[in-house]
Amino acid sequence: MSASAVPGRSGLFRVPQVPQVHPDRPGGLLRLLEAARKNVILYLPGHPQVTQTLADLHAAATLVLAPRPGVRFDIYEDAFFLDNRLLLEESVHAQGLLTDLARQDVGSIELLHGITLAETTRFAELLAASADDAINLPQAASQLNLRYVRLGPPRALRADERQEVEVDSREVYRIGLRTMEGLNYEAVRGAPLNLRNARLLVTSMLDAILRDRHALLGVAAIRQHDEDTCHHSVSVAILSLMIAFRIGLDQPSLAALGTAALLHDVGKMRIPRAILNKPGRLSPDERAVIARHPIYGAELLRTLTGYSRAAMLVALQHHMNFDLSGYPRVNGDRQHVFTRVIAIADYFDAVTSARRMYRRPMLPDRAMRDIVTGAGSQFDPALAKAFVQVLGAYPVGSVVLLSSGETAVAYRPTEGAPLRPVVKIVRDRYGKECDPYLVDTSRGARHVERCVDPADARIAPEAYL
Amino acid sequence: MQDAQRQLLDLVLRRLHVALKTFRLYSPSHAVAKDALPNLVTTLQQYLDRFGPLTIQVGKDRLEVAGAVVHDSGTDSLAFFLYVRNLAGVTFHPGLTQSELGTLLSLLSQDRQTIDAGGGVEHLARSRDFGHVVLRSVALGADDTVSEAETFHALTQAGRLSPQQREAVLGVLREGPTPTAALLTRLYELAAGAAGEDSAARVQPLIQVLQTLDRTILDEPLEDQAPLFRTLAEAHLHLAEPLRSSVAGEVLARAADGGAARTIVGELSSQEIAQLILGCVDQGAIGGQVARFLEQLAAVAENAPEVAAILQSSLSPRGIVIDPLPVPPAAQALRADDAGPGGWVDVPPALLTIQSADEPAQRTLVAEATEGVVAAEIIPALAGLLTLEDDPVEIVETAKALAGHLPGLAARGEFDRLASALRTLDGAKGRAGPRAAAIESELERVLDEGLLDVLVGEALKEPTTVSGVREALGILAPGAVPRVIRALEREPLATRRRRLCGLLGEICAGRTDLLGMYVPSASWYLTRNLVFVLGDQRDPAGVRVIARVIEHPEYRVRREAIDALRKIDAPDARASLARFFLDPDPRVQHHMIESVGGSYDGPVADWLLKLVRSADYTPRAVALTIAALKALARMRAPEALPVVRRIARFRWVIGRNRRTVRTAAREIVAEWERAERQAIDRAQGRPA
Repeated sequence: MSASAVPGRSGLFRVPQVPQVHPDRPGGLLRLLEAARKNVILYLPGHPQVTQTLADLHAAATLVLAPRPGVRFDIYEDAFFLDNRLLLEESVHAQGLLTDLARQDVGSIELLHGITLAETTRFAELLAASADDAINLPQAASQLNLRYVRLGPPRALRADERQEVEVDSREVYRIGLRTMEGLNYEAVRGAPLNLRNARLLVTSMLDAILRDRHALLGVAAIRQHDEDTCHHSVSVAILSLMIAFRIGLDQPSLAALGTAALLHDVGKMRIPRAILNKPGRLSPDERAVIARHPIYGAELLRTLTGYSRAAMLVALQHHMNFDLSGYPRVNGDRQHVFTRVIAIADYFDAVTSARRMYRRPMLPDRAMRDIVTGAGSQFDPALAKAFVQVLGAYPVGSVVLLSSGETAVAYRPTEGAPLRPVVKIVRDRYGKECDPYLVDTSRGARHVERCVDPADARIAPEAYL
Repeated sequence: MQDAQRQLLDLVLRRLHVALKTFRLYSPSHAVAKDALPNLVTTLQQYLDRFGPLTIQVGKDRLEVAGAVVHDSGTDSLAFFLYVRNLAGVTFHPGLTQSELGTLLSLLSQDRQTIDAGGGVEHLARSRDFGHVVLRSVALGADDTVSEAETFHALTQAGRLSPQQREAVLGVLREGPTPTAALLTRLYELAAGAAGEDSAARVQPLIQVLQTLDRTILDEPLEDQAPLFRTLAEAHLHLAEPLRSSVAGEVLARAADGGAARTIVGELSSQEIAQLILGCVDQGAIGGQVARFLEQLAAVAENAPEVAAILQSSLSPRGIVIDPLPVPPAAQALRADDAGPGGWVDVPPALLTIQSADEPAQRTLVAEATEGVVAAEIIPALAGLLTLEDDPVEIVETAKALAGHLPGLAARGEFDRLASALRTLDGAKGRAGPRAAAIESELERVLDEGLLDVLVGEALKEPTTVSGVREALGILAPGAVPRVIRALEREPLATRRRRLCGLLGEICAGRTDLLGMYVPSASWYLTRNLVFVLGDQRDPAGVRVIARVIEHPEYRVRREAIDALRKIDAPDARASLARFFLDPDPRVQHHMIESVGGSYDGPVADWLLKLVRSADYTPRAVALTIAALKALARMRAPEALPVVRRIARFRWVIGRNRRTVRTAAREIVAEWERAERQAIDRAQGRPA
């Protein structure tokens, strides 16, 4: 059931004016609150736009609060939380509200059952007035004696609470796609990149890795995309963070690395899609155009500041190779350590991604083997080893033939034994489909014989991850 | 955007602005307003006919059309006019009428309060029921409304959708194949504006739309992709003829190339593919056309034989026989990158496991992952980037970014890297063409913000300065010289002045023009210092500059000029030096004589002899005469020896000063003759 959906048409496109709010997903209230706040800032009181958004907000609040006494949104660091669940999507979309609340030293908003339209309006007006620091929000709220809205002071997330943060790997991946889409579009328009959302995403990825790295790896293992998609950027970020986690980078470095990984191919936004997605082989001229994407990327990122500047290094250097034999040729003595991490993840994801124009994807074990044997020339040897430890010699999602004749999907790498992953057996020795079950090849007599092409085996690995 | 489109657009915007201002001042029925309208209508219709729908996105100080930005700043600009009326965008469609445009101008020429009181521009526009104008106000709802024309442009030209456009387009796809087919049909109609009646040309933008939609869907989460692709494919079956056969024909013909066409064909059932094929073949030579489609299909679709069978069964009653399907290319041939051995058997196990020997390498990696290392590496990276760029606009922007790091390098004392960065920036100026001035001004800004003070301060430190500083100052010479000269002018300490002069000499090596513009300067002592520097450089090009001070009122400057010219071994320098023979000041004359060296110079000897023959025996003149005698002896001027001897032989001289001259002459002659004898002895090999 949705609170309201005012259909508006502009030509053929029907765009919902307000997001649909479901009682089980109260986070949508934040987006409505943000819309109301912005409209109150922009329009004079009584303007139809203001009236409409306030009515939408009130209707949605009534719907959400119907089965409960109240709903409280906490603000920790850069994001909204509902209980211990990170509201990633709301934090990305209601960025202005989040920033203003944090600046006004508000650590939580609680809306209570029975909230009236008048109080909703007063609260939105209060938020709008606090946007330019004209008032102190907590003080003004207490003076107004709001009955159904409570503001709380800021509080830091404790380390143990951080561990308990609930992050859905699939949602992180989904928001990752949208975040990348926004960043790419900003790059296309030459607008400043919203790195705050990128950082928020990376923090969520790190939370997801902390909570269950295999779950995130499973999501990223589905590579039905190619290099010109947001999937590629998000997957590379996940794989890069896994490597960096393995070698023990600290939190600020992980955040900078993740952001850089998301943006490593942003220069492709300046290359015509007709070339990027050209069916068939590219001409030398077209290859030369594509080979300029590191330069374009560096140009887009050259004005970043602080640790984020690593993104510019990575964008420029990620095709240079460890021995600097790649492109572009620049006078320099080495790749930055982040570039070396991301170059491995980039290569792996690019060659194993399924949707290529003129060739089928490389099998994951073959790509992994290339990385291992390319250590010292194309890739950093220490990082190549770390990558094998993270993904295993038969990376998650690989379809493998076991010594027993059974067919399985690699499910989880085994620490210290990359050739012996945990697999999910999907076909018996006679090739007959069976109920999938997990087998740890590092313990039993079975071992992996070789990888097989999922297309040839007619197996969709994503169904088993 | 091409030049022709840009020019016409500029004209449209100019006329729109004029018309709006006119409507603001006069009522629509006023003669002036009536005159302004046709001009705008004609231009706008011309644009729409040639380039299709025109969408203008409004910002506070810029307008954007098809991705091209028209900067339009100031409170009197068109952008500001529309912005303050809360307008986010306006789209004009082909078919626009004069009456519509007049109504629009009347609406927009109202002030903001009146517009808001009426419910905002968008609401007012809707109530006027414009057929060919779409207004979009600044909407701060959860999602912006999406302009059809903007989306059309994004789908057909840019190939990339904004997040709002993506949501709107996918929203249509989620509604099912019929709305999707309606969307494709509408986009096809919009393409007509630019393509005229050529149906093939009108289909091409739609093929591009399919490519963009394909890429857009591919950016969706995997679990959402399949239904969207299916809808997109099914939508083809819902298109009306003749559009369906045109699009289907193109899609089937391109299926083997991959991309959207292949995906669409892959989503359709054999029956649906067969239906599409039958729909797009002409009545003549059906068999051949069907065979061609099947040939394309066989390369990509596994169900090609099934499609062939369906087609054969429906064509058999008409006596048409389809050729057998060609054998599809082997799947292995596609695996270009997957050749070579697989498996891990021949890979050394050491490459797969982390051993204790690997730990130092990993520790090094972790140690290198710091913001400080990034800060250090960003500068060579920017410098490298600068060498790779060829677009002057980008060169300037990267140069600015690099220049921003220079003060940091100076503050950290990394002068070698600073010099290297400056060298790169200097090289970039040559490639930036007319925009080189922007790099210059950025460098000047950085210099003014303290970089130069740091460099000069470092250069003046004793003992020897750190390497790179003087090179950096040399590269920055055009900007640095004025500042060093100012420092020199204000410096009271002689030792520091000497160092500043040395520094100036180094950074202006080979560039006397940089010093030349300050000679002569307002203060005599600065002029003297600069003349000193010019002499020290020993550059013949400096003679021309020094010559400017031959008649300087301050004798110390002229005296310095003599020294400077003497140091420069060039004919010009000697000629300029000769002019000091006429200097009226005995102190300068004395200095001139003192500075005469040992090599013979005819004109100098003549001038010296003239002094010697002078009948002036005042103390000052005697000093000059004696100095001249010594100078003649130094240069061993042959014509001088008889004159000197004659003075030396005088028996009777009256007055002490004359005696002083005779005594000096005797000593000089004695020494001269002794030296000559020794020379003869040496020539004849006799011992001294």
